[in-house]
Amino acid sequence: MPGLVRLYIRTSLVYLAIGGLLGGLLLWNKGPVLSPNMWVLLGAHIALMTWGWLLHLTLGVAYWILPRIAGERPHASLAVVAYGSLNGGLLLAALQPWFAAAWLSVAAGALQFLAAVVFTAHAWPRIRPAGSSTH
Amino acid sequence: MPKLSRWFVKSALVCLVLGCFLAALALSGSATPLPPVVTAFRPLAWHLLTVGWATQLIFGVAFWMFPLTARPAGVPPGVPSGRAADRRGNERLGWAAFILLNGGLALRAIGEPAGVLYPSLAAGPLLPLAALTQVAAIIIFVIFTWPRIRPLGK
Repeated sequence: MPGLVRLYIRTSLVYLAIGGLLGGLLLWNKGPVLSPNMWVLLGAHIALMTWGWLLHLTLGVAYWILPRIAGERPHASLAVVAYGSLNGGLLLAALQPWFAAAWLSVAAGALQFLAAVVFTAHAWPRIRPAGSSTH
Repeated sequence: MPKLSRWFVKSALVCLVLGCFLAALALSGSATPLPPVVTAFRPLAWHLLTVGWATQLIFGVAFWMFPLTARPAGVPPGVPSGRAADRRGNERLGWAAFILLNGGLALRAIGEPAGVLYPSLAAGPLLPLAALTQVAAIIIFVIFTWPRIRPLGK
C-alpha cells in the first residue's frame, strides 16, 4: 500500500470519525434537543461523509489497485494535487455555515471540481487490461 | 472471505434493498401525495443507503482485503508468521462494530418515524441511543482498521 494511498485512506477515516460524530449529534438532536442551532452542522456532516469519507476512500483505493503502466503509477503528482484540492475544498465547504460567505461555496465547489478533473486525468490511462502494454 | 466480512456484506445488501425500497416510495411523492408515515421514512432511506449499504460494504471489504497487521517481531521474511485470521486484528472489535452499527440503524429505523408520527415519543431515549451506538461503531472501526493501513509485505 503506497504512501499516498495510506494518506488518502487515513484521511478518509478521520473524516468518517468527525462526520459520524456530527451525524450523531444531529440524530440525538432530533430527539431530546441539545441545541436549536444544531442544524447548522448538517452541511458539514454531509460534506464530510460524502467527499471526506466515501470519496477519499474510493480515490485512494483506485490509486492503489487500478492497473499500473510498466509497473508504475504514471503522473502520480496529479493524484497528489487532487488530494490537496479535495481537502482544500472540503475545508471551505465545512466552514461555510459559520462564515455565510458565498465565495466560500464557490471556491469549495471549484476546488472539488478541480480535484475530480485532475484525478480523472491521472486514472484514465490506467483503466486498461492488466498486463497490457502502454495502451 | 472471513465470516465477519460475509456478515458485513450481506447486511449491506439487505440495507441496499430496504433503502432503495424506501427511496422509491419517497420518490413516488412527486406523483401522488404521500401519507406522513412514508415521508417520515425519507431520512432513514438516505441513511440506509449511505451508512447501511456503502459504509458497511466498505467495512466488510476492508476487513477482508486490507494489508494484514505487521509480522510478529523476530519472525524473519519468508517464514510463516501466523494465520491470516490472526493478523486481521482483534476480531471481537470488528463484531462489536458490526453489532453496534446495525443495532444503531435499527434503533433509528424505529425511533425516527415514531418521533415524527408521535411527537411525544421524540424526546425518548431511542434516537440518542441510535446516535451513540453508530458513533461507537465508527470509532471502533477506525481504531481497529488504522494499523492495517500500511505497506504490503512487512
